[in-house]
Amino acid sequence: MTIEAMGTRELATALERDPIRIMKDGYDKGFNVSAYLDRLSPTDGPDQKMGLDAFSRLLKHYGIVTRSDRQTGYWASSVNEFLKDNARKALMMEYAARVWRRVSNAKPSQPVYEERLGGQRAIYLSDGQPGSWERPYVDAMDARWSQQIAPAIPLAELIATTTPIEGDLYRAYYLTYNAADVRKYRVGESTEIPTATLSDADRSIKLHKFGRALKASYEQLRRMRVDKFAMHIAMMAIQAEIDKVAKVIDVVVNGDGNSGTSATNHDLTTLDTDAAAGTLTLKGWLSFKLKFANPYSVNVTLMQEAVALQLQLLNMGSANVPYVALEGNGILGGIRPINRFADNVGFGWTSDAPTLKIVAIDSNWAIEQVTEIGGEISETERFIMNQTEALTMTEVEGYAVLDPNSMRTLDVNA
Amino acid sequence: MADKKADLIKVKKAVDDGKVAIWESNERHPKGEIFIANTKGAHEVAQTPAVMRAISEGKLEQVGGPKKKAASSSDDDETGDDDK
Repeated sequence: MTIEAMGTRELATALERDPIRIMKDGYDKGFNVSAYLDRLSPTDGPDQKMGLDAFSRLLKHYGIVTRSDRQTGYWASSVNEFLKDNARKALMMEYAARVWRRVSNAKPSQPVYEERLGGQRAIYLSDGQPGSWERPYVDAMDARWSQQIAPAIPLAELIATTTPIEGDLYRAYYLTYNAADVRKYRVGESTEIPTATLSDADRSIKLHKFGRALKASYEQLRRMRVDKFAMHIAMMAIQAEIDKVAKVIDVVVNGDGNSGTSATNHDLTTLDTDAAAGTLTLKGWLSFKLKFANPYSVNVTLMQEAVALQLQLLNMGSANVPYVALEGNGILGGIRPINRFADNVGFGWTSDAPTLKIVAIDSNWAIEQVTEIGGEISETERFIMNQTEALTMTEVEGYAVLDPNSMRTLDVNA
Repeated sequence: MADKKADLIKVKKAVDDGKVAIWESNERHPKGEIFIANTKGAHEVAQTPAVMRAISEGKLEQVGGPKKKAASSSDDDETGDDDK
């Protein structure tokens, strides 16, 4: 069935008639509100050039300004503008969701993020083009605000892939080899090719709700400017992100609830027999990295502050520079690892990591994020229909282990 | 304190597969956290839902019952350190 494109005015009329239905229709089709509004009223021509999507055009239609700029005399609207009718309340929830997504989808390096998404960024962000109606000023190259409002350890650093689903139970599939097939021996003529099996036997994960509620009376919200409201939402999103990272660490170490999915552990004193339990050594650390054999290579490690400090202060030794550290063009020559080797391993410190342990993953293979489409619809509906004064932002997510071989722990205390 | 002690059991890892059997932060555990990944020695842990689940799933096996109220210090010496 083809959808007849609506103009902004028609879209506003449809939203005023039944905002909940539009939101539910969108979720049923697998879209969030912004994406579905844009599907109903596609963005093209001048609007596209100005970076206005259907949601932004609706804000313009209702005269809601989302940011203040003292220099040019623009002030963000008060939240009261969002509370005038149910259509605008639906837009308020989506505005909050856009701020939330901007934080929870933040990548450590914004330019890389934009490049990786290949221009999709505008779809998810609520900031308009510089000089546009929605953003009648030019931003500094690096927005200080967005750098501050970002999670310390972005979840995206830990996730290999994201799968959207309907419902709250997900059955994960596992690629399994039998022991003989793991060896890449030459396949002889007329012999069977080693086969990997995609297995779904009794392995499922449960999804959990992450989020925060902002309880404020309509009176309090009315007095607040939209940009300040956005800061509160961003802070809530950061806290939810911290909770998610803690859950991912738990899944990496303990597994996702299915047999054989917990991390493989290595004791420091086994890797370096001269090491004392509790004190990380360079030999122990390098030996631990080598445990990630092809095709895996550690690229993300998480630990508590004390171990992070030990890692940064690892003694390179002044009397004996290791051979591997030599440049290759001297008389002694040099060596070069040809395995995929994890240089510049990312390390993050968080109190949610195990004590005196290093949790290490190859983030390309380790964790699958499973997210329920439209999981927040019921709270949104309650807010729009005046049944609650709590503005609740939630996401229903779970984490499945993609490949247990890509996850290891180093017990520094053993 | 006596109640906390009564909650404790001794467990050891059931299978020597190199994998983490359980990691849990919970103030009921003697040091507030347990991490059991090898079969060396027994560990004193609280009977939390996660511990009981690990026992029922065969990841851990119970090797000592709840400690007596008047447990001597020598009992503590026999207990494997969670991290060692």
